[in-house]
Amino acid sequence: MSKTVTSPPSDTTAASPPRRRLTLRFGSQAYLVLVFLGVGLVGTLASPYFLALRNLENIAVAASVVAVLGVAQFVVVVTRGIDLSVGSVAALSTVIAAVLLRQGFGIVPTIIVALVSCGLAGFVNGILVVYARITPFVATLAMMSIARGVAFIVQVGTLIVINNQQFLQLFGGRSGSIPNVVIIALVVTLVAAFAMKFSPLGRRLYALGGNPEAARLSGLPVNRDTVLAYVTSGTLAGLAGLMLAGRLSQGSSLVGQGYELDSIAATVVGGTSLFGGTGDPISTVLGALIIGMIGNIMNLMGIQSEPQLVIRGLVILLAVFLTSGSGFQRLRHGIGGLLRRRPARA
Amino acid sequence: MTSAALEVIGIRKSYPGVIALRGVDLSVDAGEIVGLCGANGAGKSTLVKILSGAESPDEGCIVVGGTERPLPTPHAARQAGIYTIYQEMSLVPQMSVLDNIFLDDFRKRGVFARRPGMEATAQRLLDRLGADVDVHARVADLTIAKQQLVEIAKALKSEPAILLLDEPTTTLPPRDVDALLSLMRDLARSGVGLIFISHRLDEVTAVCDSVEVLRDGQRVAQFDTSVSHHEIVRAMVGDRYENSLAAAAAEGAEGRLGGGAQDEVLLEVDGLTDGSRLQPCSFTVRRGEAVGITGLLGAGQNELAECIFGIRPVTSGRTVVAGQVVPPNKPRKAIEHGIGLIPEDRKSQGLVLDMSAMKNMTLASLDRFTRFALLRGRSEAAHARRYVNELQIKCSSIDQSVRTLSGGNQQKVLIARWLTKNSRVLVFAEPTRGVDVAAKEEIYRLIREHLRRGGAAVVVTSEVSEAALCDRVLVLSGGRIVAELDHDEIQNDHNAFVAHLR
Repeated sequence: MSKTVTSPPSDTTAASPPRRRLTLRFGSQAYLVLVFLGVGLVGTLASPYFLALRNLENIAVAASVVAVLGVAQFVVVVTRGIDLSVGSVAALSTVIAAVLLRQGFGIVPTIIVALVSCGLAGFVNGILVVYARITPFVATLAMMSIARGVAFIVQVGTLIVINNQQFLQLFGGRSGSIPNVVIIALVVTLVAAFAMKFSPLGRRLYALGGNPEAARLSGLPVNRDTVLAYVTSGTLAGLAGLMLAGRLSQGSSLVGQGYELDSIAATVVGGTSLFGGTGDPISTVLGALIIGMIGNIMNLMGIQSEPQLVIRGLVILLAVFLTSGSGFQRLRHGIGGLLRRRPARA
Repeated sequence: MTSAALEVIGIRKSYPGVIALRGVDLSVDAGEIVGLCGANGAGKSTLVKILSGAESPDEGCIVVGGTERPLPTPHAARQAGIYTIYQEMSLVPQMSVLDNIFLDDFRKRGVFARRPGMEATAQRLLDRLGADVDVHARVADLTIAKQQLVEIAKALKSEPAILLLDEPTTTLPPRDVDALLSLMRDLARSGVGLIFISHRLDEVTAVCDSVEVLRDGQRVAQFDTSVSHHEIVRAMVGDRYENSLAAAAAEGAEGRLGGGAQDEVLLEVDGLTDGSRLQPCSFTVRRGEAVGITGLLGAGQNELAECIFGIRPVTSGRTVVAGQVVPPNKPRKAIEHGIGLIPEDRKSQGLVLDMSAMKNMTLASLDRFTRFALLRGRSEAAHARRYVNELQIKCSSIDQSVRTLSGGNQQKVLIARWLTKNSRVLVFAEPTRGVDVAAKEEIYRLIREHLRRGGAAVVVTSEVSEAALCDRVLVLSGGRIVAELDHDEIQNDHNAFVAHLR
C-alpha cells in the first residue's frame, strides 16, 4: 500500500555482508574459549590423570549442577538483577523431593511439586523486585534465608534419605555411558541458549537489561518479563536441587551452601556483565566448567582446601578480567600509557 | 590590558562529530555580573564545563587575575578562584550544613573532621549571605533555597574571584529567585565577579551588567541590559530560519514538512495537563500534517510530548488517536494506539545501545516477526535491510551495534522502529539535536515521507528554524500554549513568531 521512497528493497546490497551471526559477540567468546583451553592445558601439564575419561567425567558431573544454577543466575543477571537465593532454593528442592518420595508419591508428581514450589519462590522474588521495588540483591538475600529456613522446617530433623530407585536412576544414573545429570545440564544449556537467541522473550530480556527505559518506551511488558526471569531462575534452581538430591541420595537443608556465589562466578567468568544486557547461557556454562576444572586440577595436585580458595578467587578475577573482552586491550593500553608516562584522564 | 578578574581567550572545544566551541572570548571584571545566554547546543554547558575544570579545551587559554591558569581538574579551577554552582546541588544531603561547607577543605588534616573555629567560620559565611540556617541542620531537611545558600556559603569559604552560577534559578520558587538575585548583587558589590546562566531572560536583564550571547559555539553578541528581550532572542536564534527557508527555496525543495493537512484528525489532545509544569493544552493534528511545538527551554514543550506518550503522569485531559481514546500514563497503550516517540535523549530513552541496529528496529514489533513462538530471523533481517536502504542508514551491517552509529543514524534507527510498528502519529522530541547538517536534512526527508504516507507528526523543538518547517506551530510559554501560527504566517512575519518566545 505504501509507496517506496528509494530503490526497491533487495537482499544483496553493500549494506549487508553475508556473515552476520558471527560478528557480534565473537570477541568475548573467543577469549573465553582461550581461557578454557588454557586452563585445560595447565591441567594436562599438572597431572597425567587430568585427561583420563574418569576424571573428565568427574569434572562434568560436578560442574553440571553449577552449570544449571549458572543458567538460572544468567537469566536474572541479564535483566540487571541478581539471584542470591538459587543455592537455598536448590536445597529446598532436595528436601521437598525427599519428603514427597518418603510419603510414597511417584516421581512425576514429586518433580512437578518441587519445581513448582521453587518457581513460586522465584515468583515471590520477582514480585518483590518489580512491585515492591526492593533491589534484587536485598529481595533475593531475604529469599536466600527464607528458602533455607523453610527447607529446615519441612525437613524436621536432619537429612532425609531417598531410596526411590526411579528417582535415583533419573538424577543419579546414566544413559548409556553418559551420566544423566550431564545430559540434563546440556539440555538446559542448549534450550536456554536457543531461547535467548531465537525467542521473543530472549530478545526482550536482553533489551530489558540493556536499557530498561528504552524497553518500556518500546512498549515491552518489562514488569511481566522481569517476574518471568525470576520464576525461570527459581525453577532451574529447583531442577539443580533435584540433580543434587539424586547424586547425594538425600534431601537436606544444608546442601547447596555457597552455590549462589558459584553461579554468579560462572556467569561473570562467562563474560556476562552484572549490569545486564549481555552474555549468553553457553558462555556461562563454559564459565562453570572453567571453575570446575580449576578445582579439579588443584585436587589432582594435592593442594589443600584453604589455599585452593585463595587460588580459585585469584583465577576467577583473572578470568573475568580477560573474558570481559576489553581486558587484553586495557592491559595493552595501560602498559602503553605507563611507558609514555602520561597521566591517565577519565 | 587585563584588569579583568577572568579572561577567556579563544576557547575551542570539539567532541567527536560536533564542534561545541569555536573560539569563544569572554571577560568578567571584579564586581561585574555577566549573563550568558544561548539556545540549546549553543555551547553554554561546554563553556561551564571548561571553566569548572571538568573538561579541558582543545585550544585557548583562561586568565585569572592576570595569570594564565590551566584548569585540568575541578580542584585546580577552585584553586584558581573559579567556583561553579550547578543547577544540581553538589551537597551531601545526609550531612550537616557545617560538614558540607567544609567538605572540600583540603587544608583539613588529621583524624578529626571538626576543628575549632569551623562553626564560627560557617556562621560568619551564612550571616554574610543573610541566611537563617542552623549550621547543625541536616542539608536534606532544608528547603531548596536554603540549600542553595549553603552551596554559596561553601563557595565563599574559598574566597573565589569568580562565581559561576549555572541555571541556579530553575528549581527555585519565584520569591526565592528574587532573594537570590539581590544576593548576587551584594556579592558583586563585595568584589566577586559573577557569571550567571539562565534561560529566563527577565532574570538576566534584571541582575546582569552585560549579556553575552552564544550561538553555535561562538559569541555572537554582547548587550548591555537596556536591550529588549526580543533582541536577545533574535541573537540566540539567529537568522538561521530565514536562511534555511531561503536555502530550501533556492534548492527547489519544499521549505515545509507537511504537504498540507487533510481532513481526518489523527491526534486530538484535549486539555492535557500534568498538574504542575504543564497547563491544560488542547490541539489537533490532521493526517499529513506536521505540527511544531516550540518555546524557550523549559516552556513545557517536552512535558507535553511526555504526557502524550504516557511517560509523564497526566492529571486530567485526554489523548485521542483516530477517534479512540488512549488510556493515559501507559506508553504501551500509546504505542498500541499508534503513537511513536522519538525521544529527546535517544541514548537513555530510545536505544538499547549494545544491541544491533536490526534488533533496535524491530524491538517494538517483535510479534510481527514471531511465528510458532520463535523469531523469524530471516524476515527480520530482510526487513531491517530494507529500512537500512530506504532510510539510508549508514552502517557496516544490520548487526552493527547502535552504540557505534553516528547520532543521525541512531535517530534513523529509532524512526525505523516506529515505521516498522506502522505508528501513524510520530512525536519527535528535538529530532535533529546533536546530528550534523546532512543528517538533519535526511531526518526532515523521513518526516516528510511519513506524512506523505498518511501519517501525522508532532515536532517538539526548541529550534525556531525547525518549528518554521511545520504546517502549524504552537508556541508554549510557562507551560501554556500562547500562540498558534500557520506556516505562511511564520514565513511572512518572522518577528511576530519570535516575539512569542519568552
